[in-house]
Amino acid sequence: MLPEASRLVLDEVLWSRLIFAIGAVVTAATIALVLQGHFTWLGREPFDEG
Amino acid sequence: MKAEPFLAPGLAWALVVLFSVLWIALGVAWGRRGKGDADEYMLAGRNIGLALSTATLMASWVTGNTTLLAPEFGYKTGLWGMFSYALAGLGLILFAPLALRIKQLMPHGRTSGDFIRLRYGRFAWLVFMVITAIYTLGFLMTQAMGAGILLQSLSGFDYHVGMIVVIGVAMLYTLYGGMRAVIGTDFIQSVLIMVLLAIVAVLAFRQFPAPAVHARLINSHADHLNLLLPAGLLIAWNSALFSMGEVFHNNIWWSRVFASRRSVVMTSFVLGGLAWMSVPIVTGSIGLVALARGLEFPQVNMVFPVMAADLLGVGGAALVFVVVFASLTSTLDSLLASTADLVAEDIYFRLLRPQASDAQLKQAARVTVVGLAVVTLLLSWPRLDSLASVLFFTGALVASTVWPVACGLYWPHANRNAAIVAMVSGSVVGLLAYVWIAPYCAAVFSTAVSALVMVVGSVRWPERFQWSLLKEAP
Repeated sequence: MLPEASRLVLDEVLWSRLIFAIGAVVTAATIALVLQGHFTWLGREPFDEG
Repeated sequence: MKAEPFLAPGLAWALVVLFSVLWIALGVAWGRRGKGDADEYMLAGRNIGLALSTATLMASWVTGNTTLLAPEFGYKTGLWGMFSYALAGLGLILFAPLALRIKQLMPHGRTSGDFIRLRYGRFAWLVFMVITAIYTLGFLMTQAMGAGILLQSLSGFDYHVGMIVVIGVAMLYTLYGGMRAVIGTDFIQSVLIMVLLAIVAVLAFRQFPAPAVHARLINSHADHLNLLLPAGLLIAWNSALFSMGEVFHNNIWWSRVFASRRSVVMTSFVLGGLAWMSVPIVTGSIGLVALARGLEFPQVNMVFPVMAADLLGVGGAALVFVVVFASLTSTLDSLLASTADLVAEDIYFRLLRPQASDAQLKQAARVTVVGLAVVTLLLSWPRLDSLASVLFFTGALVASTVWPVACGLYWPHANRNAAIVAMVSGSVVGLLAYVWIAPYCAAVFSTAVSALVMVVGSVRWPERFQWSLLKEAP
């Protein structure tokens, strides 16, 4: 069993990596949203209702 | 290490007077050009070309924070801090496609508030305006405090005197020259910033080469070179998402879209973002040099100016003084001008006096420039120790606007109620993350929640928006 201090450090690292992963997913999704929107409207009439 | 002024007050005052007179004279002269109507004052006649557009984007995005906070990040969190700060350039680059779409959809548009009101309705506009008001005041405060801190640390000016000088100069040329003066001075300021930063970096690394910095850091602060440093991981994506929130929602960037020619708008945002990224890399690396030398600072946001002065003597202090003075004025003028546009167009014209004439609208914008400068001075009077605490607080709010803005421009089925809930819930969760977890991750949680709400709300309850509604006449 890990000493108390080691477990705290481990928790901090895991917690940081989780936030890092969430940030990576959200950033990637945002980039995908913008690129998909851009290419969807590229070459189309901007006010196209179809 | 005790912070003492490295630049003689006489030299500092000479630089202040020189550049203040230059900015104001150029601003007044450029402001006399054009037709003199509200569109000319607020959007420089909507005819800005590629060079000016790129330069104004870069200069406006190089803030006092870029020169004061990026080194603080490098110093405190190491490589990750430096690189994650540079990721903030993504905000400008990713806004490029949106800028093109905005230019196509809103040929008569003036502000980001115009878009939210027409796309999502009055209540969404109200939520959006609250978010942008808090962010803008926070941004203005960090610039004003940065001005006071810089002039004090470099030249021994009283904190309040430095602040008054920088705000006063930016206000004067913005007041008389409007957006044309802002963009023109931004061009010169961006060239100054790039050239002087290159000089500082080259001279610094000649005195203290990179291999020596690396060797010292390996021995004394190996964790700062670790790309898996927990604190570094926390801020990695936050900068990117925070910057997207800042750029996607704020009228600084929307006003540049409306002011630029359609043919250059997308390219200028990409180039402006790339040019900007070099600045935090350079200033952040100076923070690493400071760490390698084992220096300690009573105020960590003074790492860059104190280091430059320490490494390069009077010349270094003078160079940094000019760089940060240009950074601060170029950002403050943009903030004053674009926020004045927002208040004049969205509140005075669209809400209070729809019958106002063109001349009255222009006058309202000018009065607002002065009013904002005064409010900024009052709010920034008490000095805060770290600019980061003010900055990250607003990240929780602005990041919640990323998905509502992007979806509103691309998705005809984007739901207006979902946009409102996304902005409110994203802001609340972001603020909770700011308090409970760490300031560094507020933007991550804010964006995540608002994205989820926006997608679920728009897929579950799709609307049918008519894009032609965005072509509202001025």
